[in-house]
Amino acid sequence: MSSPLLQIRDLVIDYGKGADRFRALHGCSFDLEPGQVMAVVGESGSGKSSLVRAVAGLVAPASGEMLLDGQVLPPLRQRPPHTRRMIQMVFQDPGASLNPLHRVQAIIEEPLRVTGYGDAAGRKRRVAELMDMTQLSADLATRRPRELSGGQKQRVAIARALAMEPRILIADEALSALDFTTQDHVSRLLSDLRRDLNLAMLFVSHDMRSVRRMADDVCVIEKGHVVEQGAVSDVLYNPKSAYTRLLLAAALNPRAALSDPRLAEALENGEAVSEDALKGVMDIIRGGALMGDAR
Amino acid sequence: MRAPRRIPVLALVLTLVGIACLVIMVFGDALSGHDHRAMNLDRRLAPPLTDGHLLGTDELGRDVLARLLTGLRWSVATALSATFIAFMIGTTFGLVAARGQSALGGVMRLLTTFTQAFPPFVLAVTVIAVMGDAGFFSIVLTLGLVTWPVFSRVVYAEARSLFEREHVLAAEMTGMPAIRLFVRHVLPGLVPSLSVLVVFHFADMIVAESALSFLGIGAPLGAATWGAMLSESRGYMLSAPWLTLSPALAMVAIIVCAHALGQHLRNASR
Repeated sequence: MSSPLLQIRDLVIDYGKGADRFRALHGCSFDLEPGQVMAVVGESGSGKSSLVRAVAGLVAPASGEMLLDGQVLPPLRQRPPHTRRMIQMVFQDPGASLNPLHRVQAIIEEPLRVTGYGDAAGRKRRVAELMDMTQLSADLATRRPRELSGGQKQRVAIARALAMEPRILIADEALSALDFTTQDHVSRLLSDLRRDLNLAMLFVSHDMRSVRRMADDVCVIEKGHVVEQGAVSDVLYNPKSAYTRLLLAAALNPRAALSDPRLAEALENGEAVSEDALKGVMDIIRGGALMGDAR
Repeated sequence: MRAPRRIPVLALVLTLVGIACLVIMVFGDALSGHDHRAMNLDRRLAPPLTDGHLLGTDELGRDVLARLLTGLRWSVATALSATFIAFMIGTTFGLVAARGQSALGGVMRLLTTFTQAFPPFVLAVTVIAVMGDAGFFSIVLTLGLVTWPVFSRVVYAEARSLFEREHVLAAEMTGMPAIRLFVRHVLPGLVPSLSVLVVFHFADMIVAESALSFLGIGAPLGAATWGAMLSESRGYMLSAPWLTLSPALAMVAIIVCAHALGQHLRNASR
């Protein structure tokens, strides 16, 4: 078994100081191995983005330990260049994550310039390779972000991240701003890249279909606490925590959920969803309604 | 069908005013046909349109138009230079302070607050009085050094938000040097606010320089500046009102134009 690429131990993240202090993450631990995809799921404000931003170095943890290849991972500005390039991030909003004034060529080339990659011709060739790798046609190189679709922008952001040749790619809700079909294409692209480049990924999402498709392991966070963690096959198909079950129920096709009479009755009467009704939901999940496949 | 594009009349007018100012800056009193220093006591206090003096003469028989044009050169040069100094210092301080929690950033924030605690005009008067050597460079330096917090505050607030933008974070994650990050990702985002601020600050500097000259602590003694012209005309406001009206209206015109340009830039950036 390969040694962990990234080790997170009892990570605590606070925002604010003194009386205004808010604890966003109450101790999270996991290992990430090369080529492994760890999904981080939870509702908005649960602390999942704080977790991955700490790994990216954008947020300083209050306590805990982050080790990359056994070495302590400092905040971003204190990271040496070779450590910085190992962890790259694809952000949620593809429009905001690209400089609106720059063209696609310049956006993807910029990390190559920073790392001193080759001469101008070499960089141009590498940009073409990266665009090909992320399924962007060559004629998009001269366009600005406003002239691209959401999916194309996200591919450009992925290409820019790959230009640094990272070992860990953080996708922070990278699919959520995209339409359903584009989500599908981009998640397939990420899966292919993970396979071809042996790329480890931290994949933040609330789309259970993508999580099931892409992730090996999943970490469920509720109000800053890790409530469940393990292999996707265990957590999504046999969830132990009521919160995970609720998350899965929320991800359900409403029509499929309502086909369960116990859940429908609870919703109609405005009652809390009972354990019994949730069991019915899980039956539907196991039947494949959640994932849209014939599992 | 697309609506016909509106002719930007305001932009056209402002461009013409700008060009006119540049021409005057280059040629100065030569455009009036008179030397602004030449005195003729036989023709003192001649009203406008008398003997080739379009705006009349002052109490020493000097051509008012020639002095007005020379004053414009002085005012614009002073205001532009002071604005440039304030812009450079303020923008640098604002960016460094916004960059992070470093000790240097803290010191810069403190220095900005400290400088801004003093009314800039009072500070300028004090500094020039202490220096005791009025001249172009001392005025420009003083005005620049007491007004930079205006830029620093705006740049700090805007840059703080820009540093949180995802494209800036993505660039930062590549390990891009700070200077390149500023130039490529942060400064372009500041251009709309800064361009408006520069224009308004320029107008403020015109007023500040004129006020200093009016008080007699601005330009060297005898120099043709609008503030000095206003000051010298105080004894003739009723008998020779053109001496007061000429520099006053010129000042109002240039400030109105600068504010119109500022508003135009502000609207265009929205």
